[in-house]
Amino acid sequence: VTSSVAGLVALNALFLVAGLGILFPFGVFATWGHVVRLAGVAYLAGFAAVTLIAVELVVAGHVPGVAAVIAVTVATVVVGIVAARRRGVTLPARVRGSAGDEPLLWVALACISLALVLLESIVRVAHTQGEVGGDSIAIWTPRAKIIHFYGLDAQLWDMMGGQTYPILVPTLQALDFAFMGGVDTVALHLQYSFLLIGFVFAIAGLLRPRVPLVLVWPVLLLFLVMPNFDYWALVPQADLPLQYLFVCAAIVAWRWIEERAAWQLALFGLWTAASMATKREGQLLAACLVLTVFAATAREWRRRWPGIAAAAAAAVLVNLPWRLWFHSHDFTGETPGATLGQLLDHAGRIPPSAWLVARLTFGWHDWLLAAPLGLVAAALAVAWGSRPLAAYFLGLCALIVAGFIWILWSIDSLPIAPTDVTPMPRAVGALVLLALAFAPLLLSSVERSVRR
Amino acid sequence: MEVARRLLESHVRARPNEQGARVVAVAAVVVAVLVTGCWKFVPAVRGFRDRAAANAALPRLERELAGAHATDIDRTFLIEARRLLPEHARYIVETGPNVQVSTSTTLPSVHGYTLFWLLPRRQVRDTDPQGRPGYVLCFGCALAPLRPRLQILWDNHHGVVIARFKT
Repeated sequence: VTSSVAGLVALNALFLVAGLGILFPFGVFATWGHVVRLAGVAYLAGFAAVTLIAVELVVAGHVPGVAAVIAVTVATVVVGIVAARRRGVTLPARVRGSAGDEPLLWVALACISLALVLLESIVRVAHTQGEVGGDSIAIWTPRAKIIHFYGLDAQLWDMMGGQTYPILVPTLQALDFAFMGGVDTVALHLQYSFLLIGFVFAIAGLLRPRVPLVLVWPVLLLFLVMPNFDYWALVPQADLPLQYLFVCAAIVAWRWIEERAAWQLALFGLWTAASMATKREGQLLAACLVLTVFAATAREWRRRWPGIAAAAAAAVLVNLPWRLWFHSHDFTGETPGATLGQLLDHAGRIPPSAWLVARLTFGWHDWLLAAPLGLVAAALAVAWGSRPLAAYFLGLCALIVAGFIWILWSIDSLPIAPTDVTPMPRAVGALVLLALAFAPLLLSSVERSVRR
Repeated sequence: MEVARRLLESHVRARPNEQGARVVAVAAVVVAVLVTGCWKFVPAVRGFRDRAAANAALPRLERELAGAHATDIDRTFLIEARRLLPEHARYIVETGPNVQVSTSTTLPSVHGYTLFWLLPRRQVRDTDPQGRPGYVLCFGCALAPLRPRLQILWDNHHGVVIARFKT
């Protein structure tokens, strides 16, 4: 194990600890079994919180190093413990878990075993992966190196295109370099394998205990064998981190709609903020999600909307300093900037754009049956399961599709083709992961209707 | 179909037929996912293992420079630039048609790739207000007008040159 790997492991362990500190005062850890089940959720929460704080420090002119991350983590844990004591939350109890009446447990266990084999293989690749080029070299890692060596240096920032791209991923990579003790762009790929592992277990944790294991893990296994995912998972870009954060935000938002737990609203706000800080598409996805959550709670708007508005406002506020920084340096190009007249002139781009988004989302060679799975699960839920859940999922997907079409429509320099010149082949991953994450929930709503 | 049968058995016993249909529908979806997941599992693992082996077979420097393969930027040039330019150096990159390249993306990639590769060395524009750069990386540029002001540090004799501005 090299010092780079040890540093990365330490940083990611701190993310986990910080996330446990965030969740603890909400009283979600009744037993140590809950701690294990929600470890992935805690990791992604800690990753989002610590990295967002690091982004603010970078914008403020202070490049966070090892000491700063440790301080932030310790502060999070201390605040968590103090808040927990005030709320009367106690340490998790030692209760022996039991499989209970978990149906077809052996199938789930087999899928978990296969998923673990795949994750181990991915970590093995990440450990030796070379730089693959593309946007990771053109955009993301150079920014991380600039932050690592100089902070937000406007002169160097100006040497690259896309100066207004959000900086959560470059900041994460800069933290990686700090913990590795230097710039190691080979070991950096391990960070992406850790995020992937965190996402897999976060989805499993967010779906349980509502969804039987036999519905959760086959879908996660499918996720890990999707060919396009196999390629993109370790590319040090921002697409997959964005999708991990966004999909978790969408799932936890649904759980908040149904269960109204405070921790769910807090994580919705945190992951939405982090999505917005990850990529420009993240702002589009966040807007789609917030609109969908507003719509899904319209009947109880007096009680629900203030919470959603507060979470959304906090997410916008967190991202404000970065926007102020790039505006103050006259960096532009954040939005397509097409006028209404230009949009009308290019209206002919809408049908081929819609076709491209559909073709990319449903591409068997890229994503296997992920998107059809989501659609079929939604259809079953409409017929026999939870219609509000199906409406939430389909409404969110429809808004995202409209958003992607708008991107292709409004930027007429983008070719409407399945090439990497456009962000679409990667961007549709948000729809694909959404379909995978919601399919078990949708199917379990049908299964629950049978038990009733 | 074993999964479907077990699901049916566990739920259908005292249920009407429609409920059985619901279970069959859910079970069919799960079976489709399971079959696809298991069918693709072996190729996926084999793919990862092959990639890991291929990566491990490469020297570390080649892995660090793997991105340069895609754009076919001369890797010796990149290695020499990192060796010859001190870490505090300020440099400009000039490109032009006086070099043979194999892809249309090579020349447009040189600025970005050298910036990525050479940090903390600072890439600047030749109009930079903070003073003259100390070095020039020429990738097919028209070197003749600059040559009297330059001390050539490395030249591949095919249009790629690393030089220092004379003081």
